[in-house]
Amino acid sequence: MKKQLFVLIALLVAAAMLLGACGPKPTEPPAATELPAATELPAATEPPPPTEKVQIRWFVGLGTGTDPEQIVVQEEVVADFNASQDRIELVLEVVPYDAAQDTLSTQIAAGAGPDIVGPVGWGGTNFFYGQWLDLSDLIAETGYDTTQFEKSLVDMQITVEGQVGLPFAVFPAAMFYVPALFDEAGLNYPPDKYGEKYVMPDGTQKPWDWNTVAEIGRLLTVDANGKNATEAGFDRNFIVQVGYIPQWQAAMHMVGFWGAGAADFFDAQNNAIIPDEAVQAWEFYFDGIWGAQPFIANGALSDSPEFGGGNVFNSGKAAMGNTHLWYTCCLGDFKDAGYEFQLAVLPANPFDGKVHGRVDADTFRMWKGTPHPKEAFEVMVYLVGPAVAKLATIYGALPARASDQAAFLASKSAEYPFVTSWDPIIAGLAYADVPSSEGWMPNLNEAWNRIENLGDLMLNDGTIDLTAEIEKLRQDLDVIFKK
Amino acid sequence: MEHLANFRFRKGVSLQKMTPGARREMRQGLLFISPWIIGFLAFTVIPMIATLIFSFLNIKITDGVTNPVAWVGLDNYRTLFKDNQVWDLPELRATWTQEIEGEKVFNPQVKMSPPGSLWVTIIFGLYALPVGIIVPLVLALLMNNKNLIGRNIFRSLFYMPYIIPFVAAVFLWGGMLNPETGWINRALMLLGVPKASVPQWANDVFWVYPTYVIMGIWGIGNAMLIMLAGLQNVPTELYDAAKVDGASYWQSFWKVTFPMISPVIFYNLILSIVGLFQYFLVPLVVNQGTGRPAGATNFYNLYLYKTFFLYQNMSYGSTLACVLFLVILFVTVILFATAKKWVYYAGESR
Amino acid sequence: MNWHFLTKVRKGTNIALITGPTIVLLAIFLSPFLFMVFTSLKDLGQITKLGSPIWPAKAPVFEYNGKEYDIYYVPIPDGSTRQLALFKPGRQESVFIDPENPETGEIVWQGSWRTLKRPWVFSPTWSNYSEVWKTINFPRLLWNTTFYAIMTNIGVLISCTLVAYGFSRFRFPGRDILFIALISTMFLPGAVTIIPTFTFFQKIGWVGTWLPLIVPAFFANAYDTFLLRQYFMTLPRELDEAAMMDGASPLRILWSVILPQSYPVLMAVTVFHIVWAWNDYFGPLIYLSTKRDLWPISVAIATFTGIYGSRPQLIQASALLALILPLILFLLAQRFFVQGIVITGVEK
Repeated sequence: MKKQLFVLIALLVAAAMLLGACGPKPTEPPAATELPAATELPAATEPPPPTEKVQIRWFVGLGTGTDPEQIVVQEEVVADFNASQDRIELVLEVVPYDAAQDTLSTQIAAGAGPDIVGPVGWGGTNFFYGQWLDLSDLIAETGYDTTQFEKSLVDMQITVEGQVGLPFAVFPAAMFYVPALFDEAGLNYPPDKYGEKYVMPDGTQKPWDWNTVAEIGRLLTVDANGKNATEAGFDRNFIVQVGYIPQWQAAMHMVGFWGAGAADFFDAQNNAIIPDEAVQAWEFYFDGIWGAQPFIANGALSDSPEFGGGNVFNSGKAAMGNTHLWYTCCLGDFKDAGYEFQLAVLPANPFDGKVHGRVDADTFRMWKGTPHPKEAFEVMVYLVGPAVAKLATIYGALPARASDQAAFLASKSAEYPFVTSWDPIIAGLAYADVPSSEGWMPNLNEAWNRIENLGDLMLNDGTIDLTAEIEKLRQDLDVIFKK
Repeated sequence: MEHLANFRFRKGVSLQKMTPGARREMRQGLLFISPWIIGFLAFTVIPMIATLIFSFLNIKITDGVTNPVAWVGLDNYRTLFKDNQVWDLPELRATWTQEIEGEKVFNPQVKMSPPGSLWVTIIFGLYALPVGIIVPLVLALLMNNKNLIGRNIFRSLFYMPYIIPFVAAVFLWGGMLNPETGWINRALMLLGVPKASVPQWANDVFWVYPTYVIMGIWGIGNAMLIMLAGLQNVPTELYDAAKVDGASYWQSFWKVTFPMISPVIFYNLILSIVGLFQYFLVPLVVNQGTGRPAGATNFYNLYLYKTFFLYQNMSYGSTLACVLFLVILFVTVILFATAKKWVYYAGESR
Repeated sequence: MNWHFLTKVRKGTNIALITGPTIVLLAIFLSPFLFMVFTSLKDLGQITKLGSPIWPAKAPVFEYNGKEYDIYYVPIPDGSTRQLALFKPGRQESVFIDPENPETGEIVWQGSWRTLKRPWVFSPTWSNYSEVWKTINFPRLLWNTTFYAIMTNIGVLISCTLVAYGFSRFRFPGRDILFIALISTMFLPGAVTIIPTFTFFQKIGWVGTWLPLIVPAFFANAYDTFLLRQYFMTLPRELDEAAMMDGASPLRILWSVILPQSYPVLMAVTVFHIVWAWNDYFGPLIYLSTKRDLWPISVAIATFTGIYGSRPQLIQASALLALILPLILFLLAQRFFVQGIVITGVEK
């Protein structure tokens, strides 16, 4: 026994010494696509690097950029930057979208926020209101030429905090659709120009609005026996294809497509208001999921692996989906499975007859606590400059600099040769959501969280009284706004 | 564990009356336990006091600006007692039929509205505590049964999943419990449950709690072995005596086995309750803390964590922590107080 | 009737009645392992196909004019079933081609093609594992986790042994109250201390290093101290009293008399601690969130699964890779797990 004890202790001590003395071989090459950018040893054992490089951390997760296909290219962009000079070491940190807010908050609370955050839209910007660095001084100091962008785009990045970003990319929205599924159902394709009508199989013309989307969506929703949602004997428990999906659209975004923004949710005294458009949008979605003739996937269905684990359109099992240009980042699986998509224009709100689009404008931000603003700004200039070619393609982002746009569209056409026209989505630029559905609200984080809870409830429980739930939301928001 | 229930204070010995030998022993003893005393002060006592003080201040960051710290007295506690996200009572709704194509189809479903975070924890406990006691106990009884061949192998295999990292286990069970394609619903449908009636597990506010209990079922190995050790300590003469009296298996379980292992059950119960009030890592990992579905997995501790790290309200987070502490203290005291009634101690001699 | 035969039959029935259901129970209990292995060997094509088998398989396709067409079992009006490729799907009727002789042209079939079955062939996709291995730097994660487990284990062994020795072999006023304080920290919710502790470590600049995770391990914890103390109590005092007579110091007695008899409990503490450290998620999550290259396996796997949500095959493959090492540890050190539990279990 005594001998064994000494063996145990000797082993532990040896292991500890081994751990303390050598650590992993510093030459260990990081795998090409590994998640943690492993260039550092554990802090306890780290020897001083030969030349002191400034480390700049680039945090990805608040918007696009977390898809496996994108991570690979972002790693390349980082490697290119690091190879281009020897003073700065750029490190990429990718965090899952759902965890990004928590992680960034923790880092900021620890006083260890990242130097650069992005791509991030207005939602992400507003969640961390007050944390962004005003770039004006750096722009003046370095003489950075902002006239290369349209002035309106530069001014768009000015908030109460100052010039918090440089224009990088815009993401107009469109209705994506799968022509093969329309063919199978014998339906005409949706219009590709704003103002055009939709032609039903019998030749009648209908305005291209959400009611029409619902009408053809039902015909495009199919059960395991091949029956569509309007047919007798349709089994809603065995849906194999849905007509429509709001792809990656949160409850607030859905409201945006019907014409209301965040600013419409409260008045000057911070009383909560539920705008009519929100009620219209939510009633439409709730009826689409749980009504007598469903055409939208419910929570369990869209979460299932067969339906893409949430990414329903990508699984090829949704005939239509309204989403943004950034969605073209990651349709690799869709394409590999032999599916093809086309673009149509956004439908109008049937109540006012007007189209309400949404335009995301993403860019990079600098955390105001960054210890190395100059170096971080250098990286920022690189990201919105030389790196645009690569990043815009993977993010599916229409570059803000007009001269970059042709190259972007060419690369997208090469990526998806079957798309006949990109015009419908570019035309979406004219339908920005003002006020933005990702705009500021009092106590935004909690308020957004509460609204998302309603969205989630609508997805997962068809037995709720939606009107009562919306009223409950209003009461809760009233408390949250005044907290 | 029982010394807590049974503790009696000894007559204090004043320092002056101690012999030199006793003093030396005291010095040495204190020296040996000093690492713990230091750690206790540094990582438990002082932070606890700090948490208490924080809860009377208003340390928070709103819109990126740290408020000037001020003493706000009981304000945070007042907010807490009015906080819907803590106290909201769940409502149950049962529907018996579903209307398909104008036809009423029998399809019983129980739906629940998402409760406030304290109720989330309590409702989860209503499932988790009985399962956490009964399943290990039944398994331990099985493992202790003379008619089971290969008892050691079974014991090891039932214990084995305990050592699997919970992060891996929850994703595994998450796949098993997928409402559309998971093996559990496939099995239910094979057994004849219509698809319209199979549980929607993690997608449903009512079913999400059993889901999490199932996700945690692999952690029962430890409790099982503790109960097994307890069972093996029951003197066989007692069973023989019961047999002579003509007791059935059931009677001898309640008359002999249960009282003899009640201290072990008590120990497990206490640990389960403490674990229950600290539970939040599984929802944090499964849903990245979003509280899906519809906020039904916004466990008390998750709410606390989000209040501190995401909503950046350190004082309100501390208030939540203090109230949690009081609740646990209250429950534990009640349990120890009732323990005397049902926990049986063979040797009262300590 | 042979009396012995009867008891044998009865005994046999009893064994079957107990052992049989236990085997079934065990099979259900461990079935997720099979689920994990099966899922980790599927390819994405199978995962997104409705009605695909639960085992890893591929459905054959037919290449025609440079495009791939899915093959289905098609019932022909003459009563036979043929394997045909779906050329043009339709709601009421669909067009198929015969892969064997495509030149015979299009075959129009009445009915819904969605009701047809596909010929699936067993085919595991081993490349999922290499993909996961390439994406996640497992050697580093294993390294980090092992480093964390061993460093904290050293701290736990040293500090808990000293404290347990102090509690079990010395009498002094207030000892029992202190012991109760020690035990009651087991019941203390971590939330009560986390906010000031995090703030403190952040102020002294330890957030982003291993220090807030490792240093507290050197100040003893309730679980392991309790385990060791219970074991020390069972050791006879005669030996240390004899050593004391010989003038040995208490430290000397601990080292030469107590510890050599405590090998099983020290092993038990070690294995429990390693399992605990392997599982630890929250500490590393909050203290190391900015330092990805220090992450242990738990945090990295959780992040990975968040990003790869729509690829369950990769999630299950990574889960399998993450549990292999603890599983091996368990198989090697089984008896120490049981040992440790027996010590806690018999405590009175």
